[in-house]
Amino acid sequence: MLDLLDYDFMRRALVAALLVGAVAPLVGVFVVQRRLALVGDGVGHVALTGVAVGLLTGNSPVWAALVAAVAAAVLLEVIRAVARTGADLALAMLFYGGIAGGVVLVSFTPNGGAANLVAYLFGSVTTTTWSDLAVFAVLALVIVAVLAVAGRLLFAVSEDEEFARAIGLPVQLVNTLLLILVATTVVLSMRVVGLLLISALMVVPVATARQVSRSFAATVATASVIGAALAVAGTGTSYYIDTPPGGTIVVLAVLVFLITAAGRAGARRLSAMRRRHTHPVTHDHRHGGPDCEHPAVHHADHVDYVHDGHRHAPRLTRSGVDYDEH
Amino acid sequence: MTGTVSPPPIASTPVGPPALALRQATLGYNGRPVVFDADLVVHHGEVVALLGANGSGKTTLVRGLVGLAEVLHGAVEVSGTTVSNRSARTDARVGYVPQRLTAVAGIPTTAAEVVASGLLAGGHWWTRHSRTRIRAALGEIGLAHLAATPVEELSGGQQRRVLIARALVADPQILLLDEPTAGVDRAGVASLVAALTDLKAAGRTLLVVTHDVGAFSSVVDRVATMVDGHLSAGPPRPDDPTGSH
Repeated sequence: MLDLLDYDFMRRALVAALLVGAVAPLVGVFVVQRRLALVGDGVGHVALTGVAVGLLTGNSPVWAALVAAVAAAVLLEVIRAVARTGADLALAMLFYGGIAGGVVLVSFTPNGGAANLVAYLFGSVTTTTWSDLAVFAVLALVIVAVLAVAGRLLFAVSEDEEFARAIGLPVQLVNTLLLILVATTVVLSMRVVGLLLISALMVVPVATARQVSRSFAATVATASVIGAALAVAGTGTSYYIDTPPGGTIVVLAVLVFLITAAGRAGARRLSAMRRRHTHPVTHDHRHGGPDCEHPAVHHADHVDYVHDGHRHAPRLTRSGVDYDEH
Repeated sequence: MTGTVSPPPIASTPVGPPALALRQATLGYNGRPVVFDADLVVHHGEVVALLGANGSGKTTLVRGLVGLAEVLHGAVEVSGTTVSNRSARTDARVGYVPQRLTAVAGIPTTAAEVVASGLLAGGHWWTRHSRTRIRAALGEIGLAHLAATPVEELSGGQQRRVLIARALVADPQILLLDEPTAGVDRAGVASLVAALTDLKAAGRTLLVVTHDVGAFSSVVDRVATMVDGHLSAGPPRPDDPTGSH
């Protein structure tokens, strides 16, 4: 059954998928919080120019892509800070210029480079070499190390930029750092899912994890596990059903998201129905009594009492008074 | 002159620079003034309410005190230090509670996680996560039992108190609260006022921006009013025993 492990190239592909799947959501959690998912895609577009330069000059496309992506990320943050109103158009220029530049430059490579282009646009995890893996491991390690050191700064700035400024955090620097992390993740992930699907690995596992988590820390951990599992499962599935790994991983990720969302909506309805019928809260006073300070609201055939954000309807039961929540 | 103010309310308060001082301060953004020639002195341990209509410049004044609005003219001082020369130490002395509910869509975040951000104040960027201090700050505003609850599940009033705890966790002596009652129901306002009463009893200085001075009448020592960017600081309340010379 596990015959895919007989092949060296599949073993390398699975290790690469595991690495990227686990690391991308760690950055993705901040990307989702700052609503930067599309910026991640844009940085991916610019990375393509880097890939092309690498292919053209005979250098490693990965390092050239890293330089291009980081440069794009820094430029983006400068544009966002300086040109507040024209930022949207400036970003569009950067993104389209990036992908078009890549396409044009690749056509100058000796053998046309069309196959190469497809590999970078849609991923080609099964062509990962051992030296590629070593590079991925270094990039992954750098991302994890930066997050371990600066994660709390990133969190504070993402959670409330105004407050972060007020307590003297270097907001501009932290924003730039986040975009550099995004750029590094883009380059790390491009072999696995391809530059056109680059944000998917960062964002979709986070979107799934946030539905089943009740804290930021839990979301980060869950998203990383989900991402790793999806990347490995998608790569394995693609081997058996003979589909491109990148697309398979993302389709799987979106399916898991939809199933989780549907499951959660169902669970919510169920618990709301249950809560409506049993809500034994002990009160130190009777609603409507002289010491009751909760505002009374007339509601259909009864009176509700407002409690911090929701309404209580008292209801007599055999054991005393219960409250239906509204 | 409207800006002069009562002596320190507590006899034992050490003599020194006031907690907050605006001296002929013009504040604004990108060189455009919003608040004109404001004079206000708040002493340590005092609770001052800043009233005024929407758009009158209340928020700009408060933002000026934490270095988020430009000081175009005059001086803004926190404990005797000019805000434009702000340093990590000034940042830590003032706790800022912005006008905002915490629950923005996005990643679920617990009350304790929100409060943890406040530990970074005062240049302590690499300080260790201190569960004890977070618990203590949440305890001070009566929310210790909700530390692990996602803020999106809290009521408006509870979310405001989480933001107060986030400011308190750095142990500031001065607290600036921007519209703490906006979007909070009556029961929530009552618990907010109770929390502020405790903070006052603990000797902290509070500047509360509000439309609704009635809600805070039991805590507030003095009222200042903002009209179209011009501030008039009222006299101390007549029933304040320390308010007369």
